[in-house]
Amino acid sequence: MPKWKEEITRRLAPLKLAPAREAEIVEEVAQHLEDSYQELVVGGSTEDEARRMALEELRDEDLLARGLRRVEQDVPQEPIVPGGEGGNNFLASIWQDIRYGLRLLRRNPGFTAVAVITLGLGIGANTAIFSLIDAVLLKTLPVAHPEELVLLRWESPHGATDFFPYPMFDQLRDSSRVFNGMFAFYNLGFATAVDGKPGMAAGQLVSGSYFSVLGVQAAAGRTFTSEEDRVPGGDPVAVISYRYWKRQFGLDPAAVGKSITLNGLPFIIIGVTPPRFDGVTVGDARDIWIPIMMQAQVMDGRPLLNDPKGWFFEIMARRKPIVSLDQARASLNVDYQQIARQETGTRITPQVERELASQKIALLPSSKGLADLSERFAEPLLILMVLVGLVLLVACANVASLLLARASARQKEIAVRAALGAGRVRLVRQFLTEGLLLAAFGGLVGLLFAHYGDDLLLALPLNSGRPLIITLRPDGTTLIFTACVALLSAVIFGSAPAWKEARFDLNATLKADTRSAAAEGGNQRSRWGLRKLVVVSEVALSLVLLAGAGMLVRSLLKLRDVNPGFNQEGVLLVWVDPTLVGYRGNQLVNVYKQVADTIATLPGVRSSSLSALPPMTHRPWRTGVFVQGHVPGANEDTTALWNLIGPNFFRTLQIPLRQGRDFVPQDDSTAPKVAIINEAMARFYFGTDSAIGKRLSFVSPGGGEIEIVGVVGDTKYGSLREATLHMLYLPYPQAPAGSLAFDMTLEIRSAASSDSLVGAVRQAIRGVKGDLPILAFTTLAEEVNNSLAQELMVAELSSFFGLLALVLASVGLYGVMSYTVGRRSGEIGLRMALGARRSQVLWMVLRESLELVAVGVLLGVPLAFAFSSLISSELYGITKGDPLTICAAMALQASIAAFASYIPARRATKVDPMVALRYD
Amino acid sequence: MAMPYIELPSSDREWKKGSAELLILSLLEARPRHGYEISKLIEQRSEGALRFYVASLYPLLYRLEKRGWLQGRWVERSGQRRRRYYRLTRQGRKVLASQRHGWQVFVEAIKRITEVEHA
Repeated sequence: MPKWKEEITRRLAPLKLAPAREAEIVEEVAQHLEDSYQELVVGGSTEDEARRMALEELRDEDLLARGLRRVEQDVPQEPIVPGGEGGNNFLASIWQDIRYGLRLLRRNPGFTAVAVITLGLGIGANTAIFSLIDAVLLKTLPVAHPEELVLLRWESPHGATDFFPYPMFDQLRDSSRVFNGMFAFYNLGFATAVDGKPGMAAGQLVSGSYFSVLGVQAAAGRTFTSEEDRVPGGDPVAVISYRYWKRQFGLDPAAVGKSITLNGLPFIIIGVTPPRFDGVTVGDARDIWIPIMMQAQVMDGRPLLNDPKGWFFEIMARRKPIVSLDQARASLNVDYQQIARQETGTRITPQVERELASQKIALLPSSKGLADLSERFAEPLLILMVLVGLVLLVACANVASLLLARASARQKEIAVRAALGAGRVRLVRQFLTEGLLLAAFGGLVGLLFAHYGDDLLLALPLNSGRPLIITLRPDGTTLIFTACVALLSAVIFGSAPAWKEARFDLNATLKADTRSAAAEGGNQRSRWGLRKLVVVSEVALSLVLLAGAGMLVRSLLKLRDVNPGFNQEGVLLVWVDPTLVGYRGNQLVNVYKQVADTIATLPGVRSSSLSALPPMTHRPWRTGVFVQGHVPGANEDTTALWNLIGPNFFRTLQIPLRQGRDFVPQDDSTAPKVAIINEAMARFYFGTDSAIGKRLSFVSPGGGEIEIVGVVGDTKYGSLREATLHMLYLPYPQAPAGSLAFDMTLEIRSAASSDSLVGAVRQAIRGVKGDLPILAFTTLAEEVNNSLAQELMVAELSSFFGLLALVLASVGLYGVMSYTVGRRSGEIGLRMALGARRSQVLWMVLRESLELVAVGVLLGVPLAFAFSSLISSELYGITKGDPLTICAAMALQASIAAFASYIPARRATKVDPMVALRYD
Repeated sequence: MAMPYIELPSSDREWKKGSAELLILSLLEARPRHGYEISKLIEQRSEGALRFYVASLYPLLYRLEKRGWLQGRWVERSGQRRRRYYRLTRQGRKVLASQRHGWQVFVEAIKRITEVEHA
């Protein structure tokens, strides 16, 4: 019979019709030609003649195609997929896929719930950490053009500081040409009284252009102008923050114009800042701003504004847009050099010239505000981001495994759809749509988890015990991040099963029974391989997380064991601040002495003292020091940490006295100036010689006005990690000018418990002066613990994520092993029928699972090593890739995995051979 | 006398197109038919004057089907290969009646103009 179909198909090829449609037309037209041929043959024509004449029906080579083109162009090319409405355009078919996917998810609630919650955990963890990163590291200040803001930093080879004397600020501000404004600021706590009710507030003294340079408009009332920057003590006005306005006044508009007492002085509230503005330091929200010209009035009467040696004020400026950072720096330093030379005065020796030339002012871009919080938290937050990224990968692997398992059960459905005309692209698209739906729901659940997660995160003592005032709210950036993470998850877990399904063998699937060997041979083996790969990768990733968590926990434990140089147990700390109620100068010194003496007489008190900075509680003070007879090297650090203390400080904290003596009550403001230094400083400056009797100065190299009377043991001061620094102690009655404007802390060592002591101490202080503000009670042990807040946060969170990953990986392993047992039940039944013991069957299944775990662990070890390099800056006392920790993590992983495999393995031993064989 | 078959010249294409739909619709009025049967009937009843080739017949059938005037269906009878039969839809019957009436009016008008005048 002539090959009509080939001829017709050839002529229809240019039309590129859908296969089903083309087949239909070819069949019909071929039938017509065959009928014509037969009629001609019956009528007497030869076969060749009949064939030739029948083909003439097709006329020109392309006539049929031309005729059909006009008709078929409007006919939908895409075959109709069952369950749909025709899919005659792209959007309609996408909507069809979505509805079909939703129906499938509804029909499998158990699977959907597990998948969505798993994804929610992974996505939620990522979102929670990201929102913290966004608030601390990424967000710019809520001001106009934050990229133009810079912080000034004074630098020299001997040290650097962000603090400047006010007269220098005044001159820099006046002579600068490259800035659109410059302001100074100074943080100060306020004792407040509103309508007679006392309270505390975080305050800031600011120069008049603070708000205008930042570009902050008042939400109510007004902010400061240059008018408030002229007359010292002349403008008792205040601007409050929106947060404070809400907390203290309940957003009452009448607050503007109200009177508020700050450190005993009445101020008028003239304005409120916008809701998102909390000052220029992220995480350190300010409540009240007052003009810097009110400084002396709120601080002890001491005029810091006139002191050319009082380095107390921070300075920020706004660079002109057309001026680059380098140009601004160059111009500013020209001004600074002129000012510094004027300050130095008369003769400038070559040495002084060299000193001056080596000093400069750096400009630090401050679009995100002062970098304190971000500097401290950048590293741990980025490590946490990597950790939650790994958790997300484990969660995605788990969901991929679930999808692969479910895909096995859907083979028939897929085969039928393909037979009815659904192309591979359409099938893959359906799978990806289902994946996206899961990811979308997972993302929504993740946002919910992240909301609660953020609350938990902020409750952790992140800021060394001080409250962290940042707002974690799902804003645009966080939502976009969550959406991207959800999309990425969908691609990761959705594409593997989708791709596998797109490559399956249609005929084998339609003919085979689900559990028969033919099906196994065709599709099951490849899918099983992929599931094993997924489980192995989960095991590897969870090992990385466990090992990382283990190292961080061990670092924390080692830090806790560090000897800080003092005895932290049994010491109560009490913060008092008489300056808030007007104590000044000698009055202040006397009241501190009275309080200290009274406390010392309390029953149970072994020893008590006072200090400006107890260890581990504040950022230490640092000062330049000139030691008589010592010529500093070119780049030598000539600074030392320093503290103001009372008598018995070292005895109370049990810091050993190595040479000389402690301070005594006679070391007062009328006595010769004395100091005590630590061993490290003594060794550095004097070697093996005694430091006692040597002299030093804060003021000038030749000054030598302070005599060293004692040397004490080295202590940790800012953190337990720090290397030992030079430490200098001064008796507080001899405090350098301006430095006694701070609160002091009582340290009380007693046998009694801290709780029982608090009441007695409070009563004793009230007995001395009824109005003395007691700011806080805490213990030294608690403060030392708080100093490890960051390490604690990272260790706790990494442990949580490590265990979460372990649980997810174990669930994944359990799922795969259950599936294996189900698939091999025929084989197991056969073995048992042939005499295999239950223990042999158990071992057979366990071995398969332990092989998976072993491969996963082998892959995980080098990854864990690499991960430990990443977190090495957070480690303490632990080497990178610490073998002990990695082995412990491996052991934990293996034992949990064995347990997860044991249940399905035991199920295998319960297989009834007769039942199993019957179904084969 | 049977007229020899004449392939209509292309200038008459429009005329043929307009009448082709009417021909097919009217042939399906009585009962469903397949494509080969339709083409043979046209040739026979026109005594060879009109002939539809495959290249023009099937595009026309599909176009009429697309308009909803015909409905095609695969039918398999025992002992035979399956064939596609076409039948008139309700809409097709309405169109047939309308076109038939139109042609009749047209033909009458032409006849009146071209008839030899009798005395």
